[in-house]
Amino acid sequence: MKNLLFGAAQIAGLAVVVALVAFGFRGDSGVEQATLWLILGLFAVSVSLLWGHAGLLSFGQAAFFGLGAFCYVWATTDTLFDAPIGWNPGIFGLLVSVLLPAAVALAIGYFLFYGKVVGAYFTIVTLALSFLLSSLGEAWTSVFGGYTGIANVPPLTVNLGFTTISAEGTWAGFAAITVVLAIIIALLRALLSTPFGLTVDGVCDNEPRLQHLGMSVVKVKLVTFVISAGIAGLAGALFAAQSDYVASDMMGTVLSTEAIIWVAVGGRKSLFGAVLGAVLVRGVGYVLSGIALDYWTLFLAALLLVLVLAGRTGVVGMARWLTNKMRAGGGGRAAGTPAGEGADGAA
Amino acid sequence: MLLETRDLGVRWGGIWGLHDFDLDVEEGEIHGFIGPNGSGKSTLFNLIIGRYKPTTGRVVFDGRDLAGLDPDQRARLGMAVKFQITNVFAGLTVMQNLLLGVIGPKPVTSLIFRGSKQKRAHYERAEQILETIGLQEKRDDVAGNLAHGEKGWLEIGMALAVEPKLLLLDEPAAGMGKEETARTVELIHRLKGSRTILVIEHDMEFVRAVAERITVLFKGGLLTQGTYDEVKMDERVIDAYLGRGRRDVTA
Amino acid sequence: MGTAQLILMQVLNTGVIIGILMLVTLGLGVIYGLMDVLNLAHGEFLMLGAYGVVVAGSLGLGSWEAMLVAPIMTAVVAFALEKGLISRLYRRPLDALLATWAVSLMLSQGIRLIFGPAPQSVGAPIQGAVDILGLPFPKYRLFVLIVSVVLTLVVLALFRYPTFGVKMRAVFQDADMARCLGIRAPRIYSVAFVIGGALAGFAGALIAPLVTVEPTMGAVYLVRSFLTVIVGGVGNLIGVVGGSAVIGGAEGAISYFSSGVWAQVAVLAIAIAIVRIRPSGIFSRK
Repeated sequence: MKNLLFGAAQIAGLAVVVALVAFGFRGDSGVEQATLWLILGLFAVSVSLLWGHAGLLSFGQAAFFGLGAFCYVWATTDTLFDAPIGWNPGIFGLLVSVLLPAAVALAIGYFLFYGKVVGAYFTIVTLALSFLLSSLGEAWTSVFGGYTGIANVPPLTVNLGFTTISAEGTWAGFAAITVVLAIIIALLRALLSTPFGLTVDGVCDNEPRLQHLGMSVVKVKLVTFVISAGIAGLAGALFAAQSDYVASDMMGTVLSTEAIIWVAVGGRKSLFGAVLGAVLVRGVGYVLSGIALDYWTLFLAALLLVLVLAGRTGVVGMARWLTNKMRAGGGGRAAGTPAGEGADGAA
Repeated sequence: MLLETRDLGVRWGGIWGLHDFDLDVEEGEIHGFIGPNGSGKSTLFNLIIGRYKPTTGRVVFDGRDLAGLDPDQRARLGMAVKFQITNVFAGLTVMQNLLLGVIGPKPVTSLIFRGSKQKRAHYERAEQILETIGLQEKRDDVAGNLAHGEKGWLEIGMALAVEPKLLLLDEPAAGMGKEETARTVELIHRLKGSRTILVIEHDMEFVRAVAERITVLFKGGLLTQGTYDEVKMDERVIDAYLGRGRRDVTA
Repeated sequence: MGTAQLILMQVLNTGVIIGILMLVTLGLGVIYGLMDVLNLAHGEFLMLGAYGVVVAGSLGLGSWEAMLVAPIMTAVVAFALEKGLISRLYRRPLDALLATWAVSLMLSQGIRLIFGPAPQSVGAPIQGAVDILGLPFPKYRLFVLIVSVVLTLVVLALFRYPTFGVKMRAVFQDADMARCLGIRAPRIYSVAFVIGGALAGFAGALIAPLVTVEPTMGAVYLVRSFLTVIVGGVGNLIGVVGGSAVIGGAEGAISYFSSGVWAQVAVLAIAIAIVRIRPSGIFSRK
């Protein structure tokens, strides 16, 4: 329990720091951007769960993010989904944006994992799926808004009878998102500290060995895939609500692979690191503009290349590895590879 | 009869890794498997645990035909394996390795929802096994950093954690020095009686110390069966290991 | 135009798709089969070939010269890439995926920085149409179709040719054994990779007058190519040809009835279904 509260506090602390820095740069609109970065951080968390913890590399995670965003729009503008009477449309929208991507992930995952489509093949299929979903979105204008997307997305408001909580204003939105982020991360850490979390580590480390111990590894992968899709969907919905805009390229490979870079930079196995990576990369990109921005993208790609070749696990991993080295004086337990750092519980 | 194979065989391309294999293993038995390299011993194990699919024949475990069952399903029926090439969770600690053995056969959903409550029971069980295999001092070490022999014991420990009726050990003494080998023999003796054990080994002294009955394999087929002394004297076995022509020299 | 002619045109256009797909996939499939490396930057070789034509044009070279220069430029890039990166990634498929994806991003972003995001226009070296059974079909398209098929056959023949072809097949089947026989695997890998890249570059140069030339044009060919490798099977070149026929043919056939995007979606569904049913590919020997 203490662990969970600490995790929540960590994230809240990061969020506040980021917001203040952004405010320092660009005032209110800076804070609004920072809020979006935090939401993307939530998306990065879903990637960290799937890739960093379970070892499943997907180039299509943004498909769930984008789907979630569209679900929110469809639900709150009553285009595809009608909110049941008495339900708050915003909350309903969030619910749909979690459940629909999760259901899609269940179907795809069932098909792929039970069909033993694993490893590189799995990654390629996710690449193709993501690419095609975004192409489909561009073409199917009536539903997905085509190339230009859909604007005027209703913001999130909750009517509690005696008061109305709205995520509309700059700081209100920031606070709401920070709370959501902290809660989700706390819940995830709780999940990963159960024995189930250990099986996820096992699947990543040595899947055949786990299978011969009697564990249904397909189920483990499927559960992880579905949960990460749901979180990605939630992030998408929040993004739509806060940025007032959705478009098909939110489902595409560009965002998917950006998230991989965030997680690689921040630390694959660390949920906090995932948020940190997203905020750092997006934050720097915000401050740059024009040609510098294009060079920034180039730099990020090169950084990913270096990280992959070196096999290191990003900022948080390096930090932990360094402190281990200093503490143990170069020897002792768990001073093996940095990859071992995630072993003692999540984040 | 805990384990039976009938006509078991597997073919790759033009070669039979195993053919016409009939085996009967009683409950509680310790059964050894010997034979030259490439005679099909590991292949037999892989067919039993479900890593390979048989071309002919069947495996019956505890009265149940294993055809079509995945490795995890077979493990849940009560069998566990220690592989020839040591196979542990190299990035996790010794304790975590054993815990995975303990929770391995459990259903995934129970681990999510009721898992935390049962954590203490899991830890206790893992500690017990840790003592049995004698790795208490290494409990928080990363498994990949263990010595070769220690990794072997860890794997045996993981196999025990599953609480199997049938334990398959593929060369448990491989790469071990004299002391470690003796420890392994002792470990297996301690396990005797509570479960059925199949052991593949090259070390003849090891096999004699451990096995009650022995099956000799040669070129994918069953050569002979019997006690250690019976098998040792069998001319066919001598031929198989030393090649033809030996008989002429001794005669 | 009557229905028969519409169908004929669709068939010929599908032929162009298949032909280009074969050229692109030959490189990709060989690398994957030889070294277990899925090169996600392979689509960029095609893109570089197309931009090579643009560059050659701006240097004053004629269309034909440009079409020969472009694959050479691509081959140079491929060589550098193989020596610098790919050779470190053998037998590391997941790392290879990420690393080559990073390279792909760098290449497309780099081209974008140099040339800008707007599409380039490239003129076709052959103008005019030819009459096929009453259907006016662009001469250049016919040229592309013929050249791509012929070139594919030439490359396939190369694999039968003693010395290089046999060596490559040996390495393909069993690299360690081949090494014991004195075949220098790294050299084979390098040559194979460069040839694969040059073929993709040539394909890019070929289609430059026919499609939109912009920095991210490689993506759609990459996806198609991967589906082809997955469907056709790894480990033999018939798989590449067969897979191209299946994927290209399916896309061509379906896009006759509905728009291009739906065709791509349908093709993906078909490919996934095939992978599920026959995981090693239709034409593989496993």
